[in-house]
Amino acid sequence: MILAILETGKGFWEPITFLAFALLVCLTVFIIRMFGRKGFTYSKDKARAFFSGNLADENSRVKASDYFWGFFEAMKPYYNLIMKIHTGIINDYVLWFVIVASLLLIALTLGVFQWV
Amino acid sequence: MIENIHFIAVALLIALGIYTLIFKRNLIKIAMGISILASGINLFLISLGYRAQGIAPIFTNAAIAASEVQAKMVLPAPQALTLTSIVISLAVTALMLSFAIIIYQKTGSLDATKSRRLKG
Amino acid sequence: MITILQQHSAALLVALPLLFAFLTPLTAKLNAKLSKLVIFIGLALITLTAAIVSFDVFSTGTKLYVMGAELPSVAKPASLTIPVRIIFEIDAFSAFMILIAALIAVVACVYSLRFIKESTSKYYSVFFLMLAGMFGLLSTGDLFNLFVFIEVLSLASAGLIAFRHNEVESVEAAYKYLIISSLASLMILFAIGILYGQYGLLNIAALAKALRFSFVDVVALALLVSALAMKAGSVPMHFWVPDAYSRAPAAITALLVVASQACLYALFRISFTLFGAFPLIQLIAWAIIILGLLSMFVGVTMALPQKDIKRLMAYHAISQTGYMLLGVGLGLLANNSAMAPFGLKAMEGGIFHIMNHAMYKSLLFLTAGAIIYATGKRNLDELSGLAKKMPFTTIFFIIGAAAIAGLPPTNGFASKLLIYESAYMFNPLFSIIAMIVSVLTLVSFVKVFCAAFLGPELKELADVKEVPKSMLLAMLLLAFFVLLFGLFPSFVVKTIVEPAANALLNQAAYIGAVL
Repeated sequence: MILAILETGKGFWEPITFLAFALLVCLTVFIIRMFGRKGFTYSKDKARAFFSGNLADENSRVKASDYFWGFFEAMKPYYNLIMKIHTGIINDYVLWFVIVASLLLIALTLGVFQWV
Repeated sequence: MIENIHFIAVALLIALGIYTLIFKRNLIKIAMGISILASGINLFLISLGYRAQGIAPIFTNAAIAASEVQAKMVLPAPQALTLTSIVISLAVTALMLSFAIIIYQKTGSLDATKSRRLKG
Repeated sequence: MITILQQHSAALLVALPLLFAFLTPLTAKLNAKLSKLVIFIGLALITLTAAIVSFDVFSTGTKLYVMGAELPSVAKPASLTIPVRIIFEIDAFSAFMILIAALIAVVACVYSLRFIKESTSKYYSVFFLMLAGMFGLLSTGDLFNLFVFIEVLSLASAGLIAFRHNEVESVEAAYKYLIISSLASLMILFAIGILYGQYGLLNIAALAKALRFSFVDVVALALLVSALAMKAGSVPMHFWVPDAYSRAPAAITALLVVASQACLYALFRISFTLFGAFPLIQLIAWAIIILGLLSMFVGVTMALPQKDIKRLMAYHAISQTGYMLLGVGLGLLANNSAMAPFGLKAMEGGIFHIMNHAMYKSLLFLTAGAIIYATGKRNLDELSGLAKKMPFTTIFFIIGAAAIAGLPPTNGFASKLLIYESAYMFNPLFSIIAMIVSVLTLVSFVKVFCAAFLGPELKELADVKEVPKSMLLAMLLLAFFVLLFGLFPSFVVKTIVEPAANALLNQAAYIGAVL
């Protein structure tokens, strides 16, 4: 009962099996890693950080607003439109409700009179 | 026409309330819009329960015969609904106005187009 | 004692929060320690009652409670044809929602212990009032009470959103929230008036039986659906959600998520139970599906560029609401058709997602609250390298982020898989959109994780410490449930989600319990 398979309509899902498999993969990775060279030592020279081909400053960071710059550049027309809608003015919030309610009403009215 | 005048008033009040909510930019006027809307709906509820020459639904020592009860007595439910709704809209109005007061105290403005520090 | 508690549990579910909302400030006047004790007793009693109610409903079926009747479980005397008293009707779906609300209430209360430092008695008083509104909304079987409890819920929520009233943004968010909620509830009241004017009934079950679907009823339906969709925060009526969620104290945001879902509950109750026999119900189903798809996509794309950590999460809350609307909308579309088995699966996914969402979203909001509590900053640009300073918060954030992005083996994956695979049977496009939205969700949480938790430690954040233990305990509780439900999804679906979905689909049973 507790470990039953979750039927999802077209497939199924069983997390315990998934976890067992994930564990197996981890084990395999670990075994492969054991074949590696012994006596490797970590030093700062072997793990230097590069940023766009230049040696990076230890304390440099990417700010949150700079993430996914390319995505926003590509989606600019969409974001220009959608940001214009989010005005933050309470009157516009009400206006959108009135628009949705009247659209729904029109759709239902058309449906009702066709159905009658 | 004339017997439906209260429903026309209801429609006018609701339309006026929604107009105020959409087009008036003053935070106090927006609160008034909600109040007007609430009055329209209260009027709607109370006019649903109206019955010409009806009497109060008190059965003890009622002045009418038991057979007439169905025809004469008014259903108390709409009045109860309206009373509850009036009390609620009073609380809403008080809270809205106190928010408007705080916004005015902090920013010196009641303009809805300026009161948009949260956007995007 | 226990039998009385059991018999009157449905009424106590609303009465107890009201009582403690009154007692908390009263005892705070006498003694601060006593007030803390009263809050704990109140919360324990309310949780116990909610557990008893849910257990009763899941083991013995729909529970009726008639206010003021000699026998609370008898809907009406035999001499009457319609119920006249106020009736609470709790079926499996209501019980399911009550369980969620009680769990999040406990977590929010534990979290608030150290999180809220000033005017605690006022805070807990309104907190209990909010619980009263929520439990009432979830258990009522009467349309007018639905309106009253929505109003109680909105008033209490607005008061708590403006809790930090020295920040003008909080008051602005509360003002906007209150205008939107009172507009929605007035439209609901108008719709109730329309229905009452025609049938003279307020009881949902009796009204569902009497409805003749005239044109005026359709007006009422349109008003109810759009108003409740706005209260649930679906695009394009979602603008209040980021404002209110981002400015409320974190524990209240978690509770606001459940409050929105209570309105989602009301939306489903109206469309499945009240208008279940409506010949054009497929139009409503399509409206719900379209609102859901829009919410999913617009919510997540608006979340991506956000800099305020809680505002980002609030947009994700909108996007996740879309999944619930899509899943349950598909169930409504397929009701009584050849696609019904897939519709049921989609509904199970949607309803399971309600529970999962309440857990992982609350967890994420609590971690965001912990970051703001520890650093005093909410802008992601000013945060960096918190992972070393707040290791436990980081772990909880990773669990929550994995769940919202739908990574196995968390609970979010199980419910999303149910929705993907059943939605695929209706239209592959639905699944594709749902998956793209899931990927974008992951992308945006990777951004939060990298920006706030990884990266070099900043000078101005040098003396940041891990948050107090009570806040960590609250987060641990939610993280535990997220993983538990992720590991045993079939058990949860079988025991509580499937009865809830069936209760929603079975209109005749809901009507039959009263008439």
